[in-house]
Amino acid sequence: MRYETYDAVVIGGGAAGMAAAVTLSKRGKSVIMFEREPQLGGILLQCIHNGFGLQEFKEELTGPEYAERFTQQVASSPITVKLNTTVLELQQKDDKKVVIACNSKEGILEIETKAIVLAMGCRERNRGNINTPGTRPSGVFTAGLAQRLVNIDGYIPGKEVVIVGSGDIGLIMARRMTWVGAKVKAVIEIQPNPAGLTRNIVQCLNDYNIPLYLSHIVSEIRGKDRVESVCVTPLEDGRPNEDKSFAIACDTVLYSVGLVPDNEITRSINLNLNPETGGAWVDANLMTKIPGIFSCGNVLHVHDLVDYVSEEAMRCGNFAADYIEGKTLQCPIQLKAGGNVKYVLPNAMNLEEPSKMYLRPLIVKNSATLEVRCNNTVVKSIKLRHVQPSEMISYTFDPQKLGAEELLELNTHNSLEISVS
Amino acid sequence: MDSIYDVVIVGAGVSGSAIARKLSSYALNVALIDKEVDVSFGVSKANSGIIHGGFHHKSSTLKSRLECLGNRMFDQLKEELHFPFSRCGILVVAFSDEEMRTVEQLYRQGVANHAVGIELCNRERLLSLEPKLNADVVGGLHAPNGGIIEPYRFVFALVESAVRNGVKLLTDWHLVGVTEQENHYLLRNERGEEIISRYVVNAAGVHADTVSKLFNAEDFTISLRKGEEFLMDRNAKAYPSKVLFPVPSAHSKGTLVIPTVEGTTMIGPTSEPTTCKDDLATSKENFEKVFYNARRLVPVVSERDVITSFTGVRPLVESDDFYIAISEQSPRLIQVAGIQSPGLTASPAIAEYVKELLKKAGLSMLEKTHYDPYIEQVPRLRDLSPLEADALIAQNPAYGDIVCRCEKISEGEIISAIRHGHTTLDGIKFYTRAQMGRCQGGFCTHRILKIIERETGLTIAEITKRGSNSYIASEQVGNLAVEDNHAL
Amino acid sequence: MNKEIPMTCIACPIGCNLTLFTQDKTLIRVEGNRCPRGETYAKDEYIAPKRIVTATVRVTGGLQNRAPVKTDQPIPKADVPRLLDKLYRLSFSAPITCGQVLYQEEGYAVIATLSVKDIESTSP
Repeated sequence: MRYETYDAVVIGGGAAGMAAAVTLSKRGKSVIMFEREPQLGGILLQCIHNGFGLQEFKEELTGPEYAERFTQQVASSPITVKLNTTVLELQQKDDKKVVIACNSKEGILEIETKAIVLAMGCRERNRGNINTPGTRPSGVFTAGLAQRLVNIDGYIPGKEVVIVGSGDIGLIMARRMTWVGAKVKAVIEIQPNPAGLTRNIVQCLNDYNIPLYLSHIVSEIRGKDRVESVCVTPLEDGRPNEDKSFAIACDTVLYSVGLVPDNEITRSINLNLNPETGGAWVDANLMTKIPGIFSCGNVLHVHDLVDYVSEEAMRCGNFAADYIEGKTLQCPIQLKAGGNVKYVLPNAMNLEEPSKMYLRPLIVKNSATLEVRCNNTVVKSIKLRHVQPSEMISYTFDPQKLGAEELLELNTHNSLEISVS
Repeated sequence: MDSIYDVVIVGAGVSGSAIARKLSSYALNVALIDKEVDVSFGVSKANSGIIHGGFHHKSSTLKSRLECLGNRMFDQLKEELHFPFSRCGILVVAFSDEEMRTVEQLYRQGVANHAVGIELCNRERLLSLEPKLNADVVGGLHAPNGGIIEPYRFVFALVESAVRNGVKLLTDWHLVGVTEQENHYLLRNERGEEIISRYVVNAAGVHADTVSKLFNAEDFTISLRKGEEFLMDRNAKAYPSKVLFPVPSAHSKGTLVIPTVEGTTMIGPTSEPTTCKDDLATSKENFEKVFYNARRLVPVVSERDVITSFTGVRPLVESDDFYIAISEQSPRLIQVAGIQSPGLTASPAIAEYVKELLKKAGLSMLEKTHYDPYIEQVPRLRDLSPLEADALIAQNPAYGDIVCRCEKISEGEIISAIRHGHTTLDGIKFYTRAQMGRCQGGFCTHRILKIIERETGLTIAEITKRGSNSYIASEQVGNLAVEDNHAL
Repeated sequence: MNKEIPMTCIACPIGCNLTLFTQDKTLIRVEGNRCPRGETYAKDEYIAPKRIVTATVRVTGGLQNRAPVKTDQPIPKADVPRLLDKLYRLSFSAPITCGQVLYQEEGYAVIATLSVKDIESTSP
């Protein structure tokens, strides 16, 4: 067994983990990173398509290239990286935090630390979660698993594919499967609007004449040993119209039906999770309700741009460093989601410094308005060119720029509400 | 051709496997055959894992007798075979006075069957035994001798023990033809391979009627009842401390709320007739019905906790009892058919009973002096303390590499499964629990494929979910020409 | 012959629904765009649609069996399937550096987008 002490432990070596670790290290803190896979990079390594880094590096990069920008920074830092290592448990006793992990070379590692950064990313929702009826043949995959098999292992999951869900992962896989010679017969989307970016609808579906069935569900999977077909049913007024069901012959079904922040190892310390995001409750320091435990990246809330993940993780690294130095600011102002907002992060802010907020709108609109209200009074209003649910909005709120009266309101009511209209 | 077997057991489900192990303690040449690529892939695959309390069936039935005998054997079996088992107890709850009448009848049956510790409970007693119960219960029954096991590990362990003691396991061996000769049977499979046996035990589950016909033996029909069950996350609030039953109906024991021995919660099973032996489809109607019924027992049951669902098929014979007897048409054939609930519970007693029938049918049996009832205990990383885990990893580094993070299964356990003959994704799933967690194989499947590839030499294209045509990924990138199907 | 071709602009997330008016295969005018980028996009897409291609190639002697690659610029859309079939037949030996040119065609190169270490490599 190894017992070691570090200033900070970063759990997860993907985009968020790497950026947070590098930032902590630059602040002079001793950092140890735990990563399950044999290399750093996380999910970026299997996202071999383009579209990353436009904000962060002002270049259009593929996932692996984006990852490599950070793995190089980690490599040239004194960060201790433990690959092929899985965190088993977190322990919290008084002020002490302990992370227990294991790998095949060293056995069990028990690390005592001052700050923990949770950067474990997400897992995919699967057939079981949405409970598609039918048989249990082979050939049913989550889109991410199929992506891994194709892009990293070099195996094609099947030749005739139906994709459930029009989120970006599903759309990217529609193109990827086509590009390895499979035939994608349809993308089935339960909502009346596509879930992914328009760019992906055009370049992944339209380019290959792949039909997109909006307001449809896969109502059954058929096949004895391997998938043989799916039954597709249209929704009318939100309910399946069985009479209009039709079958699509296929040997593979890919599920792209959402991501869930993977906070399972935090159960041992009873971390407060936010049901709207699936991630931890955090304040403007990206600190959870347990002092010294921070969260960033997809494990905090599902991002659409990795650039935002890196930015959030860098801020998180700085806040964790501040904590280690005893400089953490209290966050007494509650932040709530108002009209047309699914969630807003963080859940609490302070009044001394500007807070970067992230929120997800529930509507699709051009020339939309974002409003910050205190006790029903609008204290800030900004125009947004275009909003849609699949695009996260980020907005920096500076309480120092408020008028004296508004500041007084805020100090009295201690809560702000964000809405979009 | 191999030497003549004394006994061939057709079907490596819980019955066949228990019988194989029992016979392996005698100086006999025994073979256990199954048409699937792995054992426990038929009826026994979708078992709820309940060790029943011996009160559901009339004492006059064979199933009741064997249930009660079998129930008592599980502590010893666990000691020898190391499968997870917990005698947590069973509660049957009533919501009305009318239902209480049925409960009282079950209680009387339990008493007649010598069910140890069975008690009638009033509302307060019930709620103190299980606080998560619906407060509307009026009373019920508590059977402390009931419990839960992990059914696949049980069957795998029975087979392992049988093989360890000399039983020949022949999987992917589909019996299609039988020729009866003077004092033995010639058994032929799909590939034309033949084996000879003096006695045969027909424990072929849903196919027992088909097998019986191959022997020109009794002409009975296996009728089928399908059952669907839902598996919930191990963190579900609904996890009870005992197996919870409603009052049974004519056809079934009802929708149960089952605390699995692994810590997840299962609800179900449903019970509806079906005609197709391979019909394992789940349905939306069942989902709603099951959740409604489960919530009646435990109000905090929530659909949001569902990880997956699966179905199984129960084989029934006309009498609705177990049909375990020496065939009257073919006197060296032992019929073991219609083994529906409480088959798992009864299985060790079924094995005893079949052994006696074989004796009666003329097979002389000498006990082996060197029979070893124990099997190797495979360590499971997640059950160990950090110090124990560290020691294990030092000895065998593969235990330090976690493959399935949802269930904390290490590579060492996966390798162990493969070395015990489980080389399909489902076989490994049932042996180790890898792929059974909340991500349902999303993260670990590609790793398991690579481990199987490395350990067996099978290519990923050859690896299947459960044999036959259930391939995973049959082509490598570059094998398929990229078709030019762009829009213009 | 006059034709009206619908197209979705992807220059920005708004995704304007464009209509391209053509006469005898010549693009006469574009409607539906909210900004000049839409018109540029429509012209390029109509006259010479191009795409960046990403794929993986086989690697021998490396810590990984496949390396991700991309074209260093967009290539004619019609050439994509042929290039893919070509790339899948190639094999490269480790080590490979991110950015390394692995293959070239007239007008563009295919570069590695991930470094793959030699399997003998002892560096962390």
